[in-house]
Amino acid sequence: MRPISRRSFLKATAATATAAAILPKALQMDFKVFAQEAQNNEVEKIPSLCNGCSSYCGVWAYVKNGRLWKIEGNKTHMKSQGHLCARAHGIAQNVYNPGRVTQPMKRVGDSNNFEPITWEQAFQEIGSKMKDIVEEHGGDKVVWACHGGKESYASQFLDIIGSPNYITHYATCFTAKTNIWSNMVGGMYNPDFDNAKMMLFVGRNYAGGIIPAAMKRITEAKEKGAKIVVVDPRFCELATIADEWLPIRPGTDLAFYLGIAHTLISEDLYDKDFVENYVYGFEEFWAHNKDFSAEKAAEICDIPAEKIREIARELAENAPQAFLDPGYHGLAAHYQNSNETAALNIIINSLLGNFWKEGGLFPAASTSFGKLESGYYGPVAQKGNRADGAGIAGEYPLVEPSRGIPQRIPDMIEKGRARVIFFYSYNPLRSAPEPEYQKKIKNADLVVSIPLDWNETTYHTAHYVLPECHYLERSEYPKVINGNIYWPAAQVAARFKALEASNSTMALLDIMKGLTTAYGIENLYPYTIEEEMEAALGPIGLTPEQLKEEGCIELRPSVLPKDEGLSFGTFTEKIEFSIGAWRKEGYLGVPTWVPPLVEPKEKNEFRLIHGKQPWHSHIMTTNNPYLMAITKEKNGTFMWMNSARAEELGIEDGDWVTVTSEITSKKVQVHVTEGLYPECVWLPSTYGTFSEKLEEGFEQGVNYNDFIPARIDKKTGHVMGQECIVTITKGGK
Amino acid sequence: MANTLPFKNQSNQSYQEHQQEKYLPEILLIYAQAFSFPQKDFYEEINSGKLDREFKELWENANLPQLDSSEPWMERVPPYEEWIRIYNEAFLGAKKPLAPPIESLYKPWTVDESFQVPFKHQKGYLMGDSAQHILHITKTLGWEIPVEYQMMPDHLSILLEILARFLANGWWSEGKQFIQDHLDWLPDWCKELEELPVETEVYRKLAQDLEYLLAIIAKH
Repeated sequence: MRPISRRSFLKATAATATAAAILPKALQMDFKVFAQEAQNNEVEKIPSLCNGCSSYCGVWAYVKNGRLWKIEGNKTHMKSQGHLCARAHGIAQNVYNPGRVTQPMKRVGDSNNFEPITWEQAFQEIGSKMKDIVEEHGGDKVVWACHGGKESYASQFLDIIGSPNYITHYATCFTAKTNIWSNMVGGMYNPDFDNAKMMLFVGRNYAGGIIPAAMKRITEAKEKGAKIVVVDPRFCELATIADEWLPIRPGTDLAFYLGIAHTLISEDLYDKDFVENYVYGFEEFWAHNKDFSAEKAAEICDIPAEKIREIARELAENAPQAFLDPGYHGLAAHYQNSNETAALNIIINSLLGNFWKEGGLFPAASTSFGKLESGYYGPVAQKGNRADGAGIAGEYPLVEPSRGIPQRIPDMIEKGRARVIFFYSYNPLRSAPEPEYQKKIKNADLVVSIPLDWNETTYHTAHYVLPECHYLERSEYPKVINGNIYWPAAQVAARFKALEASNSTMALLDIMKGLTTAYGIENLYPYTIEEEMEAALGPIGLTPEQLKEEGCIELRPSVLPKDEGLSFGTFTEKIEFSIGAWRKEGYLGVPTWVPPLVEPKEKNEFRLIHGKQPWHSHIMTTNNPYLMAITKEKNGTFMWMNSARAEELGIEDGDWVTVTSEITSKKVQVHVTEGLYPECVWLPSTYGTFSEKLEEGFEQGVNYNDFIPARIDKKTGHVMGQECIVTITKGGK
Repeated sequence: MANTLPFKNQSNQSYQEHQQEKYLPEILLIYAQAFSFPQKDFYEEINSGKLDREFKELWENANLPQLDSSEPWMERVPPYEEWIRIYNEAFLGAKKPLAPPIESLYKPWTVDESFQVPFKHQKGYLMGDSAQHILHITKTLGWEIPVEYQMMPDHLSILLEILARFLANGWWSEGKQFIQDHLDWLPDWCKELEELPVETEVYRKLAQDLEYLLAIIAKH
């Protein structure tokens, strides 16, 4: 071959570098013949865990010639039980979306332009810049912000440089719930659908924020005769299979709960044995709430007193095979009174005595994995204070530092408390309040994003973009499958690399190896993912090969009904109706009525609330063409409005309206319905993509985060995302 | 086109082939570079006029008929920052929609009916059958796809270098088959480019010239 003097893209591999100009016999130049012959190859089946939401449903990826042939649910996996939702199918196909970030990028100039660079250049430049910043300002100026919930390898690095700033997204999600359950019970408990006779779901929509197996089990329980009551301002998807739907005034679940608790106690319907043996602070709670009758509750929540009492009595009648679902994100965790609401949720379930009882609530079954040691033996810096103030006296002492406060990162930067920000699979510009405020993140000295696609945070703030490979292209540290719904045995599953991956994107472990080595920390992760898997599974008697063969392995049942000898993970080992940490900070220990932060008053004022749709859950699903096709078919971006209120304002179904809050004004189309409490409007939480690089989702609908300021709840740090008043006027488009 | 004949001088075929095997790959590699992310040194080569001189010399040495629109590269290519912006908006996706020069995106994803993914017959997805074929060709010939193109082995820059290597080795028949199978989507790509909100004239003109060149090679 003649020498080629210009830039060459292809390299000769070592084996063929000296090959003569003779075509190998194995070469099939005819594309049609090649494509035809490729059809004869076998399909193989590799297990993985879906990345469409945080349920991590078990999937089988069927692969042919290194490409995705189909996916299906894993029957053993407790969250999927063989079923996958639309998001799972959509997210799997993103692997071939040309809108992915296809290699490392570096921001060029002041506008949102990027230059492709090599991994080596990216690591060296980031490592060197970070080193300079840490040496000058300290390691505690480095922030790692991520979704949370899986191994991120960041804490090993942060520990060495002296940063305590591991921040998760949870304050924009469910921290009001988990913080309170941790304080009062010692951890989360989950409902046993299979054996319940009565299930009360308040602001929890398992058919919207889907866990496929949960909906299957709820439906089967109903077929067996269980009663389902859904309390929700919106006629949500779960309400469609309920025996009763009670449209409650949004923000007043606490009043409804206080009315239930009052009925249970005042009518002597509660489980006295359970309270006597396993509850601390009952008297204190009753002393502060004995005047909060069902009548008082009804005045606030707009559910008749007799209905509140009827539900309380029915719960008591069926107890302990009856529960109030612990709730999840928006409607359960985003009001000024969500902390107290979560506390009352625990109190009602305690009064029903359903903890550790069939048809009641159970903790998650769990197990422990083995862990390989770091190979780094150099100096370790002393940790500084958290940049977000979580857990710090005088700032946010009650907020769990393990979760943090992600919505105020721009403040941390402005005050010089954060200078280097890593975003791992996390997009606060869209998933946290007030995007224009969040854009100030770009003022940090160094912003590095590790995404799959060109999300808003990456596009508007990142100096460097280090693309992680798609979940089907990587193996990962195993996961214990548990939580959210009761299952007596822990399960173990993992992602195994199913598709042939390119080296232009990387798995996180390899990214962290590159970054830390370039920073100057050698051997922090002296293992491969395969070695890590083996070490993780060894102590529980499993091998990666077994796990790859079965996809999901169930361990022995370890959480089964108990009648006595219960112990809870609190100081008193009882369920604490009075929270010690609250008392220590000068608050009343027991929950009492707290009104919502804001109230609509004028004719054209509404409370803006939000929730999930069955085919979208998170911002990351809105760039999928198949899921967006469902959105189009169902007018999924429309904002729901009560028909009577719409008539007052002269608004008809499909009309454009202008929605204005204290911080912004946006235009959206309206779905007029009787299935919504009149005082509010409802938005699906997914839309409003404003990254021009996410072409499917770009400018589709609006997002509730556009309308709310980035606030911090003083007790648990949540964003109070449902505390928003908007004025609505017809027209604007 | 100024001349539909493939080459100027049909009488001296052996010398002709020799010249073309020597110079056509060089020309194709210039195009390959032009369709990749604009590198500063490449831009400076253009801006200084060096590339135009070299390109003219290569074109003449290869005995190729003059291009109708032989606009100099110097005048064709926008200022560097502008070129970066156009590349970002047209190919990296800074504005929607995007139209990167990747063969898979302009052809149905697979002809294998057994696949159960719903997009199997659709265009617009990476790693289609064409990419699989490119992987087969490069693997068989021991040519390694660079890291940054592994998610798009059928990127135009890679395709042009493969073609250049075929010609440089004298594998004309394979080169022509390759053009027929893997470089037939350029008109579809140009159509997409026309519909982009960003001005992509620089790439459309390059693609037109390239099509002309490929037609000459295909008729050889």
